[in-house]
Amino acid sequence: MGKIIRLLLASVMVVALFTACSSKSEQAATPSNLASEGEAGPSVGEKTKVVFSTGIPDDAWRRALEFFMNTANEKLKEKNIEVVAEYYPSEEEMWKVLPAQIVSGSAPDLIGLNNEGVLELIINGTFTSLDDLIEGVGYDTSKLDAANVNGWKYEGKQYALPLTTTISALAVNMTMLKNAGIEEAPKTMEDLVKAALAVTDKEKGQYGVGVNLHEFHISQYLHAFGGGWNFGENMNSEGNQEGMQFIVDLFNKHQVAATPAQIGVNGDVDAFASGKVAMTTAGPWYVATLRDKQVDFEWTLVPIPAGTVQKSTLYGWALAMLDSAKNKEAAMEVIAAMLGEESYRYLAEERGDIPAMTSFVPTYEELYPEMKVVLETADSAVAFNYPVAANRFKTDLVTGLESVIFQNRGTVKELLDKMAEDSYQK
Amino acid sequence: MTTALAKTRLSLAQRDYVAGYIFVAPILLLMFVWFYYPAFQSLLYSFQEINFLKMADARFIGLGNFEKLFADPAFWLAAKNTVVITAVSVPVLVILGFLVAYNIEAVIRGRAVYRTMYYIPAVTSAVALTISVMYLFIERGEIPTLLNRLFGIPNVTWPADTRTALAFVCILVIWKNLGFFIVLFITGLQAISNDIIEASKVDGASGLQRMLYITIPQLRPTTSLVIILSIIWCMQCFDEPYTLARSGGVVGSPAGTTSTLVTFFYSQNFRYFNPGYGSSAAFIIFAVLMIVSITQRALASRSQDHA
Repeated sequence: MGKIIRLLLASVMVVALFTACSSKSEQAATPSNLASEGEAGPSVGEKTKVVFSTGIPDDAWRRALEFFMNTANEKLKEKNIEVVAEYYPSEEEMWKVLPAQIVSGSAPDLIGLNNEGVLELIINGTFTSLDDLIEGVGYDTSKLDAANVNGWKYEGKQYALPLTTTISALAVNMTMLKNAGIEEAPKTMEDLVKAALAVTDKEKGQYGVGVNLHEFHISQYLHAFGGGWNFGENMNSEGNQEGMQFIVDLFNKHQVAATPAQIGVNGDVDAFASGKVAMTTAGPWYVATLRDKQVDFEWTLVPIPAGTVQKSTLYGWALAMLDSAKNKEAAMEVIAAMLGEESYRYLAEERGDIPAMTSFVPTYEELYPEMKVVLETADSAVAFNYPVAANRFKTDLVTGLESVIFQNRGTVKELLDKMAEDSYQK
Repeated sequence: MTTALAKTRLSLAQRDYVAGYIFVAPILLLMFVWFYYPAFQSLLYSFQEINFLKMADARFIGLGNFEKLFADPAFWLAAKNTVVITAVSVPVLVILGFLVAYNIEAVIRGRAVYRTMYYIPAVTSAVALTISVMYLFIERGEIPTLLNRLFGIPNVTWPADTRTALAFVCILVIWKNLGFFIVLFITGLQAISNDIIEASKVDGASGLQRMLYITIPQLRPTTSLVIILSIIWCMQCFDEPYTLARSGGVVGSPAGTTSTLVTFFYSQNFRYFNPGYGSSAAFIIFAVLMIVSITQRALASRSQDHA
């Protein structure tokens, strides 16, 4: 009997050990431990802790966020509120983990995200409407770019406040164009084709246009032909058909395009920086990256060339509050503190992103003159307006277009008709 | 001692029985928490329509997910790709694994070096391996150019071309797993009695005869294990296509040619927040693997009975 009792005790100890290990490993697996030493929770003693989460693509962005949080913590010292970070390796990783965190009640209070496909989260009640909370802390949203702020509204309610404004552009390798006898960057899609035909030399692995078959880049061509996604309505519009057919023609009819993957590089910025593509749809992040890379050719950023209309895409990166936030008032204090003038100044002067606070845009224009001509198109820019089931929509769009281009399976019209029939509302 | 036994009223065999259960209790508990409970939960999900972001609104829809699944072209494309990966990779892994192991065992000097060299990809992260191998298969690179000259395969970036992307995934799967199977075969070869080999030599058997009539039959249990493991691993192929999508496109790019059953399951669960539909796909994978495993075990035991 003594032997059995000893065995029982041993088993209990083993189970206890495993339980301790598993709870420890669970803790280690949460992103918070990667970023902060503080335990995330509503409050420790008198201090209220607010957990902020986002995907971190690079160290520069991590430094920027740490600056915003340190500034906020300084401001909120007297109110006994502290913001702590949970970083995910990327936004993709964040979306992979966050739903499970929401379900298990371990989600952060605030998240940073851009508004490509945010509608699904708003409709499903993942975010809190901020209107009353904004009023409560007295944050002045009129200092922010109105179009950008409106991009975060749904049915009249505000769901996030923007930190950056992003406007799409066309990056052009002027050295390649000039070598082919073209002195000016394209203003229309016809110019773009002419320039692309002039510079393409497949034997040298040199292409006129780099087309990243990603919803952001595909949308640029659709917008240029007067199309758009309209939250899933009228997806097979004439503008969408023309825009998508234009992309197909760049690959198959004119044979002047290549994807970054075909060139063997990781993404459109690297494709452009490699000097293997002369033009690509781009954004403000190109300026800092190309400066960092010190590329050995002359480059410029110009507005997206006109197809039937000249349209850029305007969107932003913002702070949103999850509906599960433990202390919404404290979380709103953090948003207001993180979106202070110091943060927007940092964005304009150090980071090289267009600040959503309009008073800092002139500083940005002065420091980053490459974007000046693009910024002038902001007034006529449009939003993505992806449908509710944004991820499913993106997969069908990219996979379908790849199939039309690379496998000659079906037509653009057939693809868009099928997508219109679905409309991606759930 | 006698008094203690009388008190418990358990026979010696019964006490061993109880002790056995106590010993396996911790692992059974862990299996229950980490495997059986989630598997059961997943089975329940497969009969429900669920939005991951609104779990409370889940509703029972019977076999609705399975009906939708069997009518979904994306599912069938993923299933077809998975079958192709399995059909191509398993024979290569088994045959090449055996031949390399056989030759390594025949090498007298530097055997350990060869074993290590072949085993390195097996212990390398699939992500790192995929990215490194991708650079070897870029348009006009040495390997695509050579293969173009020898076999007329288009000189393109293999992972980005719809004609070659799936073949590229097969290469990655083989490259990643070959080392492990070589080690299994080496272990199997070392277990063959030297007496049988020596006796065959005395009887005048040639090297080829020894391999065909002694080594291969003696390796049947190892071969059986290699076949079943390689089928399971190929059917669960995920890391390689997932990593390919990081350089552009979506999981399964280009044009769905690298989508597999597991990437389909992943997308439904974690990208489209649709765990009910995703779970039904997971149960199809589970059912197929069960059928394959049972069939393979039955065939293996029948052939052992005949031997």
